[in-house]
Amino acid sequence: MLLQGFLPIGPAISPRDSMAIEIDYRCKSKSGLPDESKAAIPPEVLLMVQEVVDAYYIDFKLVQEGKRSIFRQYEGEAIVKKKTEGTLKSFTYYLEEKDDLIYKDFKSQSIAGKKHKLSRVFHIQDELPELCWAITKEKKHILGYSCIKAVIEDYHGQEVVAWFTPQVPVPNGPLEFGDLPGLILELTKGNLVYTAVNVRIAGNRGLDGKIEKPKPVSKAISLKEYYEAINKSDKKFGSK
Amino acid sequence: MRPSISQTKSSVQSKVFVCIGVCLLFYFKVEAQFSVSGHVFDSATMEPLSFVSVTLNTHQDTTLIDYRVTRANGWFLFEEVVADSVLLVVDALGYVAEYFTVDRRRGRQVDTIWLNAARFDLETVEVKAYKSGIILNGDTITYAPSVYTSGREETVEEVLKKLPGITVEEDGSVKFGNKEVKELLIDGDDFLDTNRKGLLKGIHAIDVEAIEVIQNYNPTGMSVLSSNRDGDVAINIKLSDMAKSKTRYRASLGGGYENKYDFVGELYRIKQKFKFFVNTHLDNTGQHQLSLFDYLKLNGGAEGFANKAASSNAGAVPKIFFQKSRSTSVASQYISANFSYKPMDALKINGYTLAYGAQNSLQSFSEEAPLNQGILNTFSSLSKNSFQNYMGKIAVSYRPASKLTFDFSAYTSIQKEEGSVDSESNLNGLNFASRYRNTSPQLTSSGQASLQYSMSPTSLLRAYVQADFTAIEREISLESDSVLHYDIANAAVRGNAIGQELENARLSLDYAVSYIKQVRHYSLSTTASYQSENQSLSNSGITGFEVPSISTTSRLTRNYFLWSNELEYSKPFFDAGIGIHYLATDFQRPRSSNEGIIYPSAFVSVNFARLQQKIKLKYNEQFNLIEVPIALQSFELQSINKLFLFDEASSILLRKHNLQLQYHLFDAFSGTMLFLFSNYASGISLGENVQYFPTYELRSAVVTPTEKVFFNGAILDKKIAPIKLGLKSKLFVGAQQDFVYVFDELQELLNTNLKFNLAAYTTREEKVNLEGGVGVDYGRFGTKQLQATARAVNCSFKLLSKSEGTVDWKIGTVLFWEQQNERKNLYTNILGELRFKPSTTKLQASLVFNDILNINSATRITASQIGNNYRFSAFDTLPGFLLLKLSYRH
Repeated sequence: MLLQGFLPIGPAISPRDSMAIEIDYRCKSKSGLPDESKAAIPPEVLLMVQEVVDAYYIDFKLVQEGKRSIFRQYEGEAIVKKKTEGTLKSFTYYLEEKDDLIYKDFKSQSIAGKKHKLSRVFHIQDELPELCWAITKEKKHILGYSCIKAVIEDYHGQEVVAWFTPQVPVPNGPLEFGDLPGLILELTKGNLVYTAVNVRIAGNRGLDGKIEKPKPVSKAISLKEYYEAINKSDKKFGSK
Repeated sequence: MRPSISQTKSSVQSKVFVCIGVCLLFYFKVEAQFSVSGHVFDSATMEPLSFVSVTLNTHQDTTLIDYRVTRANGWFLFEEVVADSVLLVVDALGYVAEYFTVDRRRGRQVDTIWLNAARFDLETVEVKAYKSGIILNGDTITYAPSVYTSGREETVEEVLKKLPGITVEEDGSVKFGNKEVKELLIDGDDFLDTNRKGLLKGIHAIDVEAIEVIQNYNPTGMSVLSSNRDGDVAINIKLSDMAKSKTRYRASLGGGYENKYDFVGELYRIKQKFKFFVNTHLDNTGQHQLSLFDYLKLNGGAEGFANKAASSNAGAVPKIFFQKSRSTSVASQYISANFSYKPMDALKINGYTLAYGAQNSLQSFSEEAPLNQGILNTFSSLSKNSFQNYMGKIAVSYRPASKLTFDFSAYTSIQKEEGSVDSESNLNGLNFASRYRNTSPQLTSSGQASLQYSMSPTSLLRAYVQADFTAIEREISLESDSVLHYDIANAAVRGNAIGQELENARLSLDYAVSYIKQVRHYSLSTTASYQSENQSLSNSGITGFEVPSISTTSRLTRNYFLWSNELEYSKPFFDAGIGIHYLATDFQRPRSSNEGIIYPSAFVSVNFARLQQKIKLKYNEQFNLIEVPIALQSFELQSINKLFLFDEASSILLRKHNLQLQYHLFDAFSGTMLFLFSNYASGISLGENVQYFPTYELRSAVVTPTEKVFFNGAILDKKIAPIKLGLKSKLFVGAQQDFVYVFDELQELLNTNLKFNLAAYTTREEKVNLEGGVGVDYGRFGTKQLQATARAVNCSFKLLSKSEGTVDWKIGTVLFWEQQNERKNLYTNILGELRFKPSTTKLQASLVFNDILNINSATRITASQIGNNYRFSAFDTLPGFLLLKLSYRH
């Protein structure tokens, strides 16, 4: 209260509107190559392939300024990083498409996204999901933050594991996930693990990330519809 | 059918009872649970705050019980809170978190919560956060080197130098804060023994994944005499998986003007089961690869060191006016090999070999009187000091069960010195130790017994036993949020016997009670110990050595614990006690050269000390900041007696609000700690023990201070300008007593000095570093004569190109001004290094003119004034030192 006396007179601005947070996530495959694929690869090549797969990752960035956030791959210096030096340079192992993104608007409580899957582009438009996480007692440290494990089932009935830190009270995280009493620093969904490798918090000068709502490129569907479509495709093609 | 109104009485009664029962159940259910709800608003904008994290936590350790995230209207509701009392935390980024205790008995409901903006000066401060570089876990501090390093570092030594709180001295010794690091471990293994300098320069920086500083490290084996509560500091270098899959090597070959050569070869492989490290250094540029400690071990302890000092004193300059001297060959050959093999989890075999030779030859020396006298003296002297040392040690450690460990080691050392009467001396010994440790819910007990047999130079059988008992802690809950911790009762009995009559016994008892109330932790501990030592070794010359000792210690401390055990704010509040120590020494050691010299000495100390500060975390509610001031200011007063067989040292360490006395005695031959009395006995808190490190580039501590602060676990760095300016200051008060031989005559040198150093520096985007400083030394040296030394100017600057993989070049000059009574000296040392480092290959080329690492061996030009006489001299240890080096690192 004393502090407020020293504040410049003018329209009051919520500190949240002037805060920005930027998190770099590294997405890696949890289990590497599926067993079916391993069986199909000659043993002498398998090691090299496995090395490429293990070294393969994609960096994502979650930028939240004020009440809007966007989660997408790096733009600029490194969109996709592949360590193929000395191994199979032609081998590619796609985790996500490079211009997939998830946009969240906490003011209108809406979510919008663009997802590539099986040569299709999905445009997602939905309300921000209210997620009922189950908090566990497990704890660990990520980047020095004390994190708590929380689990939830996604639309596939698959378990999603989040490690969030109450030390950064931002209810956000990778993809559409969030709604926890702290920032999600690690998220495991299916075979992919998104792990925070850097956290930046900035004042009103903002960060580099530009937050723009994605323009619809196809008919908008809800998150549930999107996952149902993916599920259907996965079953059709025999993968998870 | 319509129900009949005329129901029977019993039916109505039973329904009434059921209703009452349901109501009662509901009542009791409601009584056992309660709800918490409220609206969260921004106090400035008066608007409801959405997406605020609201958590219910336990009081004791703030474990998360339940959570809500507010929605558009800022509303939250916890419907069924089961606990009696919980901590409600309302937190959002950019706001100061609010804490409420919600108590069922008081029926407290939180209605409207106003969040205030955190006091960030958002208009002027750009806050950039990096990933956390430090993780605290109990006594272990883990650094992520990538946070502090630029990627240009080549060796683990350069990495350590960049980490806050860690300093690496020129002799290879490493300090954490003000405390010397006793052990350097590679992936938890101490297989490198004391070959520290080779290790630090040998391990590639790129292989280092993490650096762990382990405080209160108590290594096994004979070094058990250190105090329980203030154990040694060890650094564990954790290597990356990538490093473990490869054999690493580096070869560097240099040649230059006047037949100078320099070869360095390093080879290592660190795997889970097998580790080895080979280090070779051959040069005639005078860059010794051994630390002083290694040197003492190799050269027969302090005596060898004294001889070294004498030989340099022998070249003392007479009162000549013009002097030019140079030594044309200072050669050293150094090869060491270490390995560690763990064929199974229970068995470990360590090996250590070292070969070392050094040679100083042909010193040319010319001197001139003033020109008007026309006198010129020129002579050359052949000062040949050639010797070879071979040392080997093998140790086997077997742990058949988790509670039991056996250690066996054998060591041998041979020294050959050309032209000496004692042309060859051996040092051989065997060591066997067994340890047992058992932990039960009620009692932790441990026992240790060891035998050490030294075959040469004296036949000594040393036995050591120790038993420790620690009663298990008990807790008594007083209130819902406080606990009385009936902590530890620790009793220890130790005994030590050497040879014929040396006896050593020690009995100590610890007791502690602590009281924990929420995040506050009070503890009271008492330590009492009695120690008695008596030694008499007639055949080896030790005729008397009595150390009766009694000490008691009481400490009262108060700590805060926040967040969790890992994020702990420990703030010693009060620490008091008393210690008494008496030591009388009277022994002689016959030697061929100085038979019958007796050194009586006495040491009495009354200790008055305070617990050494560890890293503190400061929790600032306003800023939500946790600060980690690692650097400590310190003053140090130390007295060291270097004796023939033993080294003894006593020290008074005065850190900021911290005074500590130590005494130790170790066998200079084998490096085995023979006796240590380290006692922080008593102390009084000198005020609020809070250190604040500003985020600006202003340095005001002895140890490189951190310029970073923690923000919720991330490190904040304030950049105010691309140019950094700062001040560094250092104050040193010291006393040192040395016994040295000068022309076969033992002299006692008592050195006391007071140094103050203030340096200013500027850095511009890491391209240009300029540093200049002033220092003042006041010293009293040697022969009862009061002498003063003043060092007025100490300037150096270096220029670095920023871009990696191109050209690094450093030039610098160090200027000294010194006054010793009537003598006034002006020194300048010139240093330089040019290094070409192509970014595409691992091959480096460097052109080194002079020795940038060791300014004492650099070219020195001196101008002196003694009364009315002036002297100009040039001393060039490494004349024409111009070396082209090629280095390949894999």
